[in-house]
Amino acid sequence: MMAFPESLAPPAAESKTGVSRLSRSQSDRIGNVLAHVLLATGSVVFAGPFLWMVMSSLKTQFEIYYFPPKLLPQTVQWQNYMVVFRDQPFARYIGNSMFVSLCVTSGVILTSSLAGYSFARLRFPGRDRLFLLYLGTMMIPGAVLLIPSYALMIELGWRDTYYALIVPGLVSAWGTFLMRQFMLNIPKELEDAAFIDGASRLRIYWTVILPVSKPVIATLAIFTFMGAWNELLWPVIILRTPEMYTLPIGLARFQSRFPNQTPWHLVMAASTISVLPILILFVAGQKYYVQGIVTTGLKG
Amino acid sequence: MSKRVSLNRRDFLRLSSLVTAGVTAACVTGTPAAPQAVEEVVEVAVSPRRAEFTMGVIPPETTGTFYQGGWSPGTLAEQEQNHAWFKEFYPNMEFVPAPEIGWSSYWEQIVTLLATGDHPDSAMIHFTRTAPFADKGFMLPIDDYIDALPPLDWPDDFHFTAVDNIAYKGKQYGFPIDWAPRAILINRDIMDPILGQWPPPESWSYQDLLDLAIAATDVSGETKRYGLATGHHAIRQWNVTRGFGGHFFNEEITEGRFTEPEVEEAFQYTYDIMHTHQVSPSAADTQIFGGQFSAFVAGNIGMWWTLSDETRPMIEAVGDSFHLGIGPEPLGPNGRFGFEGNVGWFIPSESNHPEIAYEFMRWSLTDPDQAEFMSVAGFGGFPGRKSAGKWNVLQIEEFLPNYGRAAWELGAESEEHFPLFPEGQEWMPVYDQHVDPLMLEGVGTVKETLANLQADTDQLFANAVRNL
Amino acid sequence: MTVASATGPAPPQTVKTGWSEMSGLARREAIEGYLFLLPNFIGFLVFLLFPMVAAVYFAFTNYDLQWPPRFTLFQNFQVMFTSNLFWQVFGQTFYWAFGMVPATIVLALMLAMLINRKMMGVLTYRLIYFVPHVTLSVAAAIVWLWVYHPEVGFLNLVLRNLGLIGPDALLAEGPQWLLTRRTAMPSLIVMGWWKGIGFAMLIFLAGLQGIPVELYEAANMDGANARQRFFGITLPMLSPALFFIMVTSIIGAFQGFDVFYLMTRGGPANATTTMVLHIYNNGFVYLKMGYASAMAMVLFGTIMIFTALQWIYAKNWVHGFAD
Repeated sequence: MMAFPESLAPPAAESKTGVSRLSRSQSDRIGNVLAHVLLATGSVVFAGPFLWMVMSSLKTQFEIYYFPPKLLPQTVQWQNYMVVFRDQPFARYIGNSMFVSLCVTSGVILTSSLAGYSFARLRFPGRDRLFLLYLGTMMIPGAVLLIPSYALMIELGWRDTYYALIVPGLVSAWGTFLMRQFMLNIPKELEDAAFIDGASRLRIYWTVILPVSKPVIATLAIFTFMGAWNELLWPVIILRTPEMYTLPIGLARFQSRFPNQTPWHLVMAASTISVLPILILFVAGQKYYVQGIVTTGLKG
Repeated sequence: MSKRVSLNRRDFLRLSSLVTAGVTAACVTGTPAAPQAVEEVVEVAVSPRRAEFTMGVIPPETTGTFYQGGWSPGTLAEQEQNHAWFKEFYPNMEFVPAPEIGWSSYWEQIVTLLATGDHPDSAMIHFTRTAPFADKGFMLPIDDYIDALPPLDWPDDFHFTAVDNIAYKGKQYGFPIDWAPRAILINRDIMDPILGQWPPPESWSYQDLLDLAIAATDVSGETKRYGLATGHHAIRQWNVTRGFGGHFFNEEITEGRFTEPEVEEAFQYTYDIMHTHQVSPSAADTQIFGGQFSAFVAGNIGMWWTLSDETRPMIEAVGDSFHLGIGPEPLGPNGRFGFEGNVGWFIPSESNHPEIAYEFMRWSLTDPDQAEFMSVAGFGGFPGRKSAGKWNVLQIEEFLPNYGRAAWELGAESEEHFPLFPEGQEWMPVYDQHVDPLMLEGVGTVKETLANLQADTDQLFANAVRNL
Repeated sequence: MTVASATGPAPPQTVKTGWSEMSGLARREAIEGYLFLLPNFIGFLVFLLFPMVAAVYFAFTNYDLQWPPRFTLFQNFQVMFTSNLFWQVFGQTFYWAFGMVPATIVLALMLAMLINRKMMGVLTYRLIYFVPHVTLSVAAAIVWLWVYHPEVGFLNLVLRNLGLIGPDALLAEGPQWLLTRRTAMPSLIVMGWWKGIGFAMLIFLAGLQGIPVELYEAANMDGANARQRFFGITLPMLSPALFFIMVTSIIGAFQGFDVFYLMTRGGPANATTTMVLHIYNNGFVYLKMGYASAMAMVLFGTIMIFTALQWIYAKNWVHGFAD
């Protein structure tokens, strides 16, 4: 019901160079060529460091020090990836991280969309002030919250448990804000129709609001997942049992206390492995970006 | 830290988290405790090795967990050694090294653990933290343990600078892991014609070094060639200052001494390298990537005045692209000063197993066999035990024949380390604030800079609160 | 055309009235509103309230990690406001935030418009521009340190090949990028753009997808040109996303840390030390957690003022805001 036929996909921004005497398709084509040139040029700058990271994961330990740096390895060292999995139980770390990150992500999507809907569409006293307070929680740097947060975890008996990694992460002011902003744009008519049919608020949220919010949920999911996936400091402080380590800990363990003794090739290989799930998630989420919002009865 | 104090903290936490914990308890049914597996207690036979490696006060059947903090786990081989030690002496103890991590995360982690009273049983220390941690009572003095079971050949076969860097106000708090003197890495393709002899003279002076650097510098080409890469960060500059006979601070470290002529001479020397003669690239010398390491590897630098533990990666990185050599730290008018710093282990004051921590630390950092192992298979630098450094020398001399003499033997002539004081880390930005513009941009004069540094240093000390 | 009235939520109603004056329906809506917030609210109450209260408490004490701290009232603030370094750091934080945020937003918006079209390779481009956000920060720092290296760096190499550096060229010497007070912060800001643009672009893309197609069709029927469509439809409909990006980017930029920590450690001459790096240093390196907490309060106040200002002005331009 949500997917648009190809021909209806949003034209979005037309090329700014579109000249009226050119036909539509001609101006489209010129715009596309121009866009390709611009985007491809930028790509080199934007992807450079990432490419370098991937390439370095295929080098020997000291090739990384060569100057001027070479992008391509002299001989491709596929075994670096084997070494990563041999030296540490990386598969286990990936599983742990996946569990924690998925729990956090699904929790955040639920709590944020509920709260975002409330802040965007429902009217109640003190709403805006409460919302600013929510935003306020993002404004205190984590550095001064770390010690009391850890003290709280000790009091709860949550040291060395996944509760400490998951439960405090289930709410997100950032996510609430994101959901709220996007729900502001959902046409009121969609809700009204369901309301007249006698649907409850929760039902409207579930059957009307959530389905049309897929693009923003995909966005929220990827950033929340990434945040949980890359979190290093908190798990390091909380966890003791090696079997419970998450991926970033495994990654950090490759770095030596003596910087120039660090096996950078392995660090880069491990980083490349750790980035993969995010990229997969990103690509998988793409299909939600090509959807628009059904706006029945709005034509004209 | 006294019992009363730690009770207060708990009370505070209880009180303030009553609300929060109450709500949580209502939401979460049953908080899981960490798995407490009941294991069979292994009987331990008393062997002669036990008398050699333990103080004999803790029964070998002791059970529990030994939690160790640090900012990198060492090599896998090192980890296996550690587990084997526990298996031999405390087979019922579980040895759990912390998920060790990067430098910055480690300080957040260890400080959080120390502040909340949840201390690890032993932990890693960097010499810059010795004074502040000791001053706040976070570290247990180990002098009594040393009396009970001293390390072999203690203290004669240990580098005094490295050992004393983990001591504060007359108390020893730990043993060093490493000891890194400075040396000068040389691009012999550039320097041999200028030096006219090999190896470089052991008694070369600051002035000799500067003269050679001037001769080697060539800025006419497309890519500039520099004679000597060096830096100006506080500890390096302190070494040069000691070489000229000056001091940064007074004996009690309550006042600066930056306006004294020897100090001025030392800063002028570095300023001349950077600006008067322009023989050094100004790239920050402390960064592995993007710093002088890369410029040296690229072949644009005749001599690099650096830490000796850069040698091994440098050998690998340079490969066949030019002929690499090494020379000793030069002599100043007041002698040779080239010790920068080191890391070690300490026992947090609320460690659950301080005796075991001591025995473990003593073995892993001072035992001759272990020192040899660390020197070869560990981090690859010099360990705290003097004699064990030869294993490292043997490895590297395959590539750099005079490495042992230049770095290890002559490096040991440096008998002082940078002064330790609780505000040491807070003072660093004060130093940078005044000295960076002078050395990096050539702005201002040495005299003005030092006068300003003196004023701000004295102000910092005037406001300092010290417990010890 | 008036987009807001066509698709926006129902016209504003007064909600300032007390419970007794509310209709049954309005009262029900309010209760539902609170209930929807509940899961979120409990989480904040349990896991953030206590740490935040503790941080506020520490701000008025000499807490140096030894227990117990002693109340010192406003002494931390007094020390802060008379410290030259604090004011320098405070100013630099603004420099960073305002160097970072506006340019990132404009560039990201342009990028999103460019990418949000029907053509081949769009997915690849999205991926590429998102990639800086997922590149391991240590790896990114290594590459960027090399880019800015004054002797063997990429940037100076390019400038030299373009003839911009040389005895007779624009610059006699290659700039020292990260090593002089004047150039260090701008260099880091450019790196910040690189890292931040992909993130903002994704949010904009999600926003662009939320714009009903019918609006464009109607506009096309009315004969609106590209410019009119952009200012008449795209921008107003994108305003909630834009507002989100503005607010969160400002909050994020004022708390920038990674780039400074990995690239310069706050140097040279503390010229790239920003508030959070300074707070981190004071708390975890100098062990002056009380002073660090006091600075965190000042940072909180500063960000709050900016957010509140944006909030007040948002009513004038953000679509659906004045409900």
